[in-house]
Amino acid sequence: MAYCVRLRAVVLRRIARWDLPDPVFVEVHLRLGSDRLGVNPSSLLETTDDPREGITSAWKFRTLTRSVSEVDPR
Amino acid sequence: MTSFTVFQLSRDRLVSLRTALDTVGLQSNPEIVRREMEELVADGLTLPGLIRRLWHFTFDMLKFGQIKDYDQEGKYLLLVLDQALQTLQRSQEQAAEIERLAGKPVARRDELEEAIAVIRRLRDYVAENWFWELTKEEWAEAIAEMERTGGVDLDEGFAQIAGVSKEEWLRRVDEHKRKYHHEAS
Repeated sequence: MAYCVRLRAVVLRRIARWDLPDPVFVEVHLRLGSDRLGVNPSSLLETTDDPREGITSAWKFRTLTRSVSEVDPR
Repeated sequence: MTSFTVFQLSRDRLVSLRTALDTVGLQSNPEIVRREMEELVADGLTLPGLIRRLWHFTFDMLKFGQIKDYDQEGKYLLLVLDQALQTLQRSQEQAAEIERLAGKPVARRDELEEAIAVIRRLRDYVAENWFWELTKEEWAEAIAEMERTGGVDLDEGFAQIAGVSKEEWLRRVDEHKRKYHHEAS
C-alpha cells in the first residue's frame, strides 16, 4: 500500500510543545513514519467517510507522555 | 480500569474525606472544630500524592495495553480528578470559615492552594491530551483542513521543529538509527 505521511499543523505544534530530548524526538519521528505506520499501513489507516482523491485514509495516532512535570513537585 | 484497586482506594478516600467535611462543623466548640479541620487539611494534603500514584498507574496500564475503552476510562479518570479538586476546594473554603469563627489559624491551610494547583495541572493535561475519540465533526474538520492546506510533510515538519534543513534532519535520523536501533538488534 503506497502512502505518504502528512501532518496537520496542530499536530506539529503539539509535538514541538513537548520539548523532547533529541533521541526521544527522533523516536517520535520514526513511530510516525516507517517504524510504526510503515510496517503495516493498511492495519492502521482508516478509510474516511467521504473518500476523495488525495485523502482516502487517515491515521489517528495516540500519544501521551507520563509528563511528570504536570503532577510532580516543581 | 474502574475495577483496579488503586481506583477503588482513590474513590474511597475521596468519599471518606467528603463525609468528614460534611460533619466537621457539627461540633459546637469552635476550638474543637478548628482542631478537627486541621486533621482534614492534613488528610487533604495527601491527595496530590494519591493522585500522582493513580496517574502513574494509569500510564503503566496504557503502556501494557490494559485499557481498551479509551473514552470511558478517560471520562472516569477525569471524574476522579474533578472530585479531588472539588474536595480540596471545599476544604479550603471550610478551613477559612473555621479560622474566622475560631479566631485562630488552621495549620497548613495555605498549602491547599499548591495541592489544588497540582491536581488541576494534571486534570487539564488529561482533558487536553487523553485519547478521546474524534467526533464526526472533528474528523470532517481535520480532512477539510488537509484538503485546504495539504498538511506538512513529516520530514519537513520535524526538521522545522529541530531548526535544521530536511537533509540535516534525515542525517540525524540515520545516525540515531545506527546508534540505537543497531545496538538493540
